Amino acid sequence: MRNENGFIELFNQYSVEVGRYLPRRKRNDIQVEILSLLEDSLEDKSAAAGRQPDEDMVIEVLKEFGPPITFAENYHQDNTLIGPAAFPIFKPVLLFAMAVFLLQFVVGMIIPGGGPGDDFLTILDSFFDNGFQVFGAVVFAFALLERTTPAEWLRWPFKEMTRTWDPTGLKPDKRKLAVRASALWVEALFLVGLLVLLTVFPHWVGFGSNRNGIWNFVPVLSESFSVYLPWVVAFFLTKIGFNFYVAQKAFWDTRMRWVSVGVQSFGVLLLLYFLSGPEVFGLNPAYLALHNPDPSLVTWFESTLTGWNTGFRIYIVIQLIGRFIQLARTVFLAITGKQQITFKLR
Amino acid sequence: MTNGKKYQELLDPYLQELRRGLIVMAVLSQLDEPQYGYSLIKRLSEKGFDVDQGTLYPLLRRLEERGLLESDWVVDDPRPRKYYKINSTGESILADLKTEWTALVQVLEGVLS
Repeated sequence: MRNENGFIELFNQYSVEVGRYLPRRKRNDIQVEILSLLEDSLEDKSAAAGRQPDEDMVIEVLKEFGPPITFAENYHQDNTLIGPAAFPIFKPVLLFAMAVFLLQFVVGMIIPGGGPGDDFLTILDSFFDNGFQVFGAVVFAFALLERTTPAEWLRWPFKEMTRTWDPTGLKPDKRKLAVRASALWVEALFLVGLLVLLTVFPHWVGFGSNRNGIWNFVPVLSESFSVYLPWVVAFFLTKIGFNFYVAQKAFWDTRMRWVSVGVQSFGVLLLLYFLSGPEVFGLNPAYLALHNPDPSLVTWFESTLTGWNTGFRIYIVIQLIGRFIQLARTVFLAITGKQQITFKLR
Repeated sequence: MTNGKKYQELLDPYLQELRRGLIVMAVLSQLDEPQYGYSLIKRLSEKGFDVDQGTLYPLLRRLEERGLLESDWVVDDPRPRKYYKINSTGESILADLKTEWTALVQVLEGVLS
């Protein structure tokens, strides 16, 4: 019966989807068992109906099993640190936090006096010590969320997936249209954080070092960065609102794609403005006069300033090329109504 | 109609809670011989005890993790199947649950009458 007429592929896909919400340790074994149970169920239905299994029967079986996230949730009832509702968001947040930590660690090694020291063992010790702290903080935050937030709230980002459970959405052509809500929520969360950082604490964007027990910090955003800020805020709010809107839907439709074209165009215009406008990185005389950080750090930043701004412009050009391609693709998809739009965390 | 629906919504969690405590006993009682998930569902259903698939399969895993069941993958069947069977710990727990259940039924009969 396996792969007959291709519709058993829906069972495979269902077990894959359930697996997305399961801990890696249990995943494979449960997935194989689910597949076996689905086929048992189908066989029984087919025998009861007195005919060969067909796609309607497959869909009926999958409807009985319920949405993958709900089915997976039942496997998490015993003292799970992070349950299935929070798990899809936990994973990218953890990856992002670890990436930021790594970046910060590498930058710390480059700037004068920024690293933990010259001794290899001290560096290794600091790396693991700080790495575990970041890992622990994210796990702790999510574990706390799991225990203090009502389950309905945690499940809320997936409410459309569970409310309108349609197994035909597992078909390859329709699967491409599925909205990946967790990625959109994580991106929105990330943008909110960035928004707060840039509007309330712009002087926190910089680099620092701890020399002889004295913390030195040099902010990197130039005073002229403020000309971009209103547009950055407007774009971020638009993007957050858009993600919020799309995450409510189960599948992409033409209207959503056209709205996406608008949002992406706004992003492209903002990037063009960054490319043609004043430099983003520069010394902040007011901050330096007030806090008087280590002069060697300031000198190092000043001497590498051209590199910072050139690097940023190169980054903007690369982003622009990517955004133009994505925009052209989205327009094409909106016109033809084919294929998916892939969202990636910036 | 709406009142009936509201009443049912109010009642459902209590019924679920009542059944939840009994499922473990019902499942353990049927695993004196090896059963795979779907055969167990059918067996329970034939005896008038319907269990949702999403409830039963994870429950089997939990009972196994707690050391009340043993399992084996059998690949000779038409498809690979995981068979579960009660072990000595499970039997002992089941016996105690049955004793408690009988006592509870007697007490509740007295309370409810």
